[in-house]
Amino acid sequence: MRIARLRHLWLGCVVALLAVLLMSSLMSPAVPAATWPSTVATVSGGGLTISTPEGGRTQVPLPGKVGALDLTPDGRTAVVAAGSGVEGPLGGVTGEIIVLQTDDLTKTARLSEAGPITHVTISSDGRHVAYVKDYSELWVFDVEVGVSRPLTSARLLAPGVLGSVLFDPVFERSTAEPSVIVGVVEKTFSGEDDKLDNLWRVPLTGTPTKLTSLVEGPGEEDWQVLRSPATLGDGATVYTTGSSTSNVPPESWTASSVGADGTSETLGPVPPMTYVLGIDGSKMAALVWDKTNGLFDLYVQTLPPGGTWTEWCENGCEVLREDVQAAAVASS
Amino acid sequence: MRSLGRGLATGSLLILLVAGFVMGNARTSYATDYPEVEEDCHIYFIDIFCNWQHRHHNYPAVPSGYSQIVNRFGQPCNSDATANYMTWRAWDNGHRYPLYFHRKLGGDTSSNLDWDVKGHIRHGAWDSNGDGTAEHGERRKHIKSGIYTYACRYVQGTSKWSTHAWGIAIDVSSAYEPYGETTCNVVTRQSGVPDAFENHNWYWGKAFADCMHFQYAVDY
Repeated sequence: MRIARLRHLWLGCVVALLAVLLMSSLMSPAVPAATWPSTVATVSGGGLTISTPEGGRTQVPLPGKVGALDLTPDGRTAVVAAGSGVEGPLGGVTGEIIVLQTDDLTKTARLSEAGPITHVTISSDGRHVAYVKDYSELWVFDVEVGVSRPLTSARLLAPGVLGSVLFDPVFERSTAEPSVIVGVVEKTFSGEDDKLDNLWRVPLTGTPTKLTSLVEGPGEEDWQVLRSPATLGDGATVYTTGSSTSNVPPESWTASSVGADGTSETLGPVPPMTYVLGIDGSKMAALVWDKTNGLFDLYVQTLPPGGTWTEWCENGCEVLREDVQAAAVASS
Repeated sequence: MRSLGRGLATGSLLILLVAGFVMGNARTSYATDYPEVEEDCHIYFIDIFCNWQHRHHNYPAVPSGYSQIVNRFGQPCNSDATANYMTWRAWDNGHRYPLYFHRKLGGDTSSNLDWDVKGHIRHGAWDSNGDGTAEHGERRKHIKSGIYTYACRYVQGTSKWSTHAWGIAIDVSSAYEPYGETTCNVVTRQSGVPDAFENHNWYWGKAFADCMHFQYAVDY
């Protein structure tokens, strides 16, 4: 009799607990899913993973390893460079440039390339892909026609600079005639590491023009480097810079923007070697270099009103992914 | 008279031997004095005054990839990266380049770079002319202007610290070997310079079109 009563008591507790859990789940507001960025593509261990609002996280089967990637601002189309890894500090892959749809992973265009590819970027409408080949040449691939052609080279943009390379190309978003913003190494240390970089605007038809006017210090060991231009809908380009004047690591890096008219603005400090991926007005997605393992963590920083900040993450940061080699986000 | 002459000759020989021994030992007691030993070798033209032979003392294991480099040599641009100092005179213009490099690769810690590698290049026999005759010091003629070691900097256009930021890389003859060229102009296999580095755990950058570059790390 006593045992039966105890059993009823036990069952009653379980039922009550379940009821409480059910009620709390019904009463509490649903945890809002991160709405921005809506689509995120990351590379880890050479493999590509795409997260979409509809499809969750999907590992994309691709030939070889992924060396570079980009997404259209709406996140519907991705471009990757995949193939065999190239030995050396500049790295890259030889193989293919592949354009694919992020919802069903349909491959809509492929281009074989023998030279090492280090960077790819896709235009907002998905019709053009620009890429850096052989470290120093910028090419554009017409996705619909299936033909690629050279746009410019480090030899033309930085004549006489031994070992100069092009890096971090990104399509401008606001112009009717797409242009590519690309980093150019304008001075090097003994021809292999960058001492001074600047951004150039390279239209698909027309003459390239210099977008930024960075200068390095007067010392032999001084340097001023620039990384990761990200273009915004209003025609501005955001990028990060680091500098050193005494052969020691820079204390901080800075995010800045340059408008279509060439006016510059400092946005705020960022950790060393931060890559800005996109800004939606109130948030900024960025890859932050992790010095413990040489990989990146994907941050979304909430921006203060006005869009400038005095301290990194002062209005809050969310870490979306950890330990990735590269990433791209849908920035619209 | 004959015994006087014999005595003088023996005495002079003894003094020369003792002087040579003292000078040789005095010079070899500090690795950073090594370039001066090389200078004296040229004055006297007698190899015994150089007193160089490789030691192969206390080489660190070669790291593979970023994490192992950090584990073995610390964070980029740390104070150990510049703990050792030597100079190296370029063969073509005579400029003496000041070179800082990692604590674990020379000085009192190891005999690797400043004693063994440099010693082989300065004094080791090598047939760089390809005429079948190995001569001492032949390799030194291929160490030309543009010699650099430590610098706190990034690989251009990338997110990677350069191996120079750890003081574990050296560029030689960089004025003649622009990055990106797969054919080397001065630092060729025939010059014997790559062998001198590779035989002491250094990796040659020719594999990635960087003929001037040697680094004490792989897969990076």
